[in-house]
Amino acid sequence: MNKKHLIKKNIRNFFHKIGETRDNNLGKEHSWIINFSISIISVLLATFIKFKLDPFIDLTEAPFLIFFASIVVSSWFGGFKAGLIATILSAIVVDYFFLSSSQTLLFNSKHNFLDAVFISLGVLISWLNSELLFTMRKTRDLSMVLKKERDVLEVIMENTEAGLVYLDSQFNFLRVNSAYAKNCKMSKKELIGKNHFGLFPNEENEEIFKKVRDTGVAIEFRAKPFMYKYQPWRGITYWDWTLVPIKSHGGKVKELVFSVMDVTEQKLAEDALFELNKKISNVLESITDAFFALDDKWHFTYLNTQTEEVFRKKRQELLGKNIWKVFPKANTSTFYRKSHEAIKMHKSFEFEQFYAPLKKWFDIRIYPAKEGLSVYWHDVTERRELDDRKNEFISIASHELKTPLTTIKAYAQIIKNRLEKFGEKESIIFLSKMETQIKRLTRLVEDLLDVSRIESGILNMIKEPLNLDKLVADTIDDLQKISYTHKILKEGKIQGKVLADKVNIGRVLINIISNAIKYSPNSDKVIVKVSEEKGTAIISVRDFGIGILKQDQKRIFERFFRVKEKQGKFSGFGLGLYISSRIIDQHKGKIWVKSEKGKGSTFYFLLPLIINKN
Amino acid sequence: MKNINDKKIWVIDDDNSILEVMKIVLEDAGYNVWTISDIELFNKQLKIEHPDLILLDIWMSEKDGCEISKDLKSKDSTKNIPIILVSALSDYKKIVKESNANGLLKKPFDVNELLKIVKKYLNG
Repeated sequence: MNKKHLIKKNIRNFFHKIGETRDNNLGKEHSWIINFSISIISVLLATFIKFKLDPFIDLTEAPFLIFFASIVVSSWFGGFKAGLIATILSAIVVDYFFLSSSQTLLFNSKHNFLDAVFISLGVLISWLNSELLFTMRKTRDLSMVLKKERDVLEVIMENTEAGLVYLDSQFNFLRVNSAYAKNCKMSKKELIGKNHFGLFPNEENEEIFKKVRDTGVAIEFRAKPFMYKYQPWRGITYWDWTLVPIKSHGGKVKELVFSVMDVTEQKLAEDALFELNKKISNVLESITDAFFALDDKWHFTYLNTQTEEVFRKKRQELLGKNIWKVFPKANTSTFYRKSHEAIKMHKSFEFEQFYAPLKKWFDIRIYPAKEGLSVYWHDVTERRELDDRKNEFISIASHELKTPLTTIKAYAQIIKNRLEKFGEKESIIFLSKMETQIKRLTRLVEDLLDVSRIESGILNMIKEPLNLDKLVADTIDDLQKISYTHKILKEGKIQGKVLADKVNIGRVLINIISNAIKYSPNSDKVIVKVSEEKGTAIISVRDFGIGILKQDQKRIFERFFRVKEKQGKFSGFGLGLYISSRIIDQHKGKIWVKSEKGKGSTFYFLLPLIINKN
Repeated sequence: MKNINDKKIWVIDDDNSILEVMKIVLEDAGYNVWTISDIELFNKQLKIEHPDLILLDIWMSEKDGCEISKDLKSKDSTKNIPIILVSALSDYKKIVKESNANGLLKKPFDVNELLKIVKKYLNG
């Protein structure tokens, strides 16, 4: 059993080996030793077979016949050269053993013809066999290359996001990749063999396909809209696609390669972005401000029409250009400094700057953006000029009103001094009253001018560390000297200092204390209380007078506001508290009132204390 | 030391009523007063003699008092003459700083204030 099995196995192995040898034979050329050996072995084998067959078959007339087989085998396995060797060997062997009766190597002329025919046939067989071998080898190589190419192509086709389609000239699907099938929301099987326009009818595209097929010229589209007739729920889809014709040798288009990419999402996002940009630029165009944007290398990335007008340059001249190269004179400007600071510190700035080339003032706002700066600006020349005129007017008014006042005041004092020498007591009282009224008039003029200054934003403050406690005490002393009806009491103490303008804070104190006296005619005292609380100095002035109605309490700090029922009895423009509140505002402080009708009022104001670093 | 009557005060203003009243007040106090509203005349006289004190209006129609003050203070020959600016403007601290003047009197002033400041700079 085992023996039988072994023989079977050996036979199988033998044939397998032969097959392998043949395959190897196709793959490479043997060395001459192997070729030679193959020839000798095959000729020997043929000789052996010839001897063995002789008793059974008479081959005397055609002794070469069996040797053709050895030539075939040799040239099959060893190529042309091996075949040639086998031919010569066979001729010698046949001549020696089978043709000459004397078994000699000497050629007999009788057999020469037969030998020549045999050798010619042997050469021909060898040549044919080797050619066949060569062709088979080539064919196998080619088929291997083709197989490899096909594999690579398959990998490429299946691993791309683009849909790839191979169509015949009638636009039937020959081959599609998974991406394409997915785009169509169908399976590959459903597509193969079907007609493209049968499944996805579209007259326009069909025309395009036909044109490519007929002209042989490829075509390409970007974001071309497409509507699936049988999948209307998909709406309009957008595709990048190319159609490339494959030509046969005759130049006729036999097949087409169609590649498509669904760009619907990108297209919609782009459209949305475009719309948004359009909206933004519409907004930027419609605002009255000039606007421009710079990137982190100071290049213009956007500018609106207003900016074009102010710069007197066209958009095209500026976009992409470095601002400091376009306007080299700006390198020393506040704008230059502030924009560098804005980027460095990521901080926005607003300021006014005079731009000499245009002789104009601009209000400039700089905002640091993610990649650069946004700059809004507008012409404020007119306002600046108006401010200048206003300032000038205030100066003139101040001068013109105060000059006659100065003269009147001085003459009144001169007369008073002279009358004192003559002891004209009654006249002196009249002149004192006149002086009081002059002082009042002076105060009113000052107040009016101050309001104008506040309105123009030119109420100048000279802030210095100020001992507020001492200022309160001094002010109380001064006011006490001219107040005969009220006792002004100071309570509490402030240790710290405030950063403040002494003259103006003094005016606030005078104002509030004078008001307290003025509006408490039936009382005899005013209490000024000072204290420190949470980093602030608080000053309160309390009177026991007529008080202020709740609804009036907020409005008393407004300009020209006067409590109605007081108007008859008390003089003034109603400017004192307005000026006071503006002065306190400019010190980053706070001013307010608590009051009860008929019981009196308490005015408060607070100022931030200077933080002691120690 | 000079007698009070020998102290020469020049008052410069373009408003005659101010000049007049100042002259009365200062002469009453015993000073030797010269009032001028013409700057050229002032400059001419300055080449001949120097006063002991100048009272100078800041805002005159012809010339800015600040400029005159700065001018006088920059020249060696006149820099020692005390100058008091007389002003109706409010930001006087700035003005004094810019003009290099010695003192400032705010309009409308008190007669006693005027005499006090004049006395201060004449003695100093």
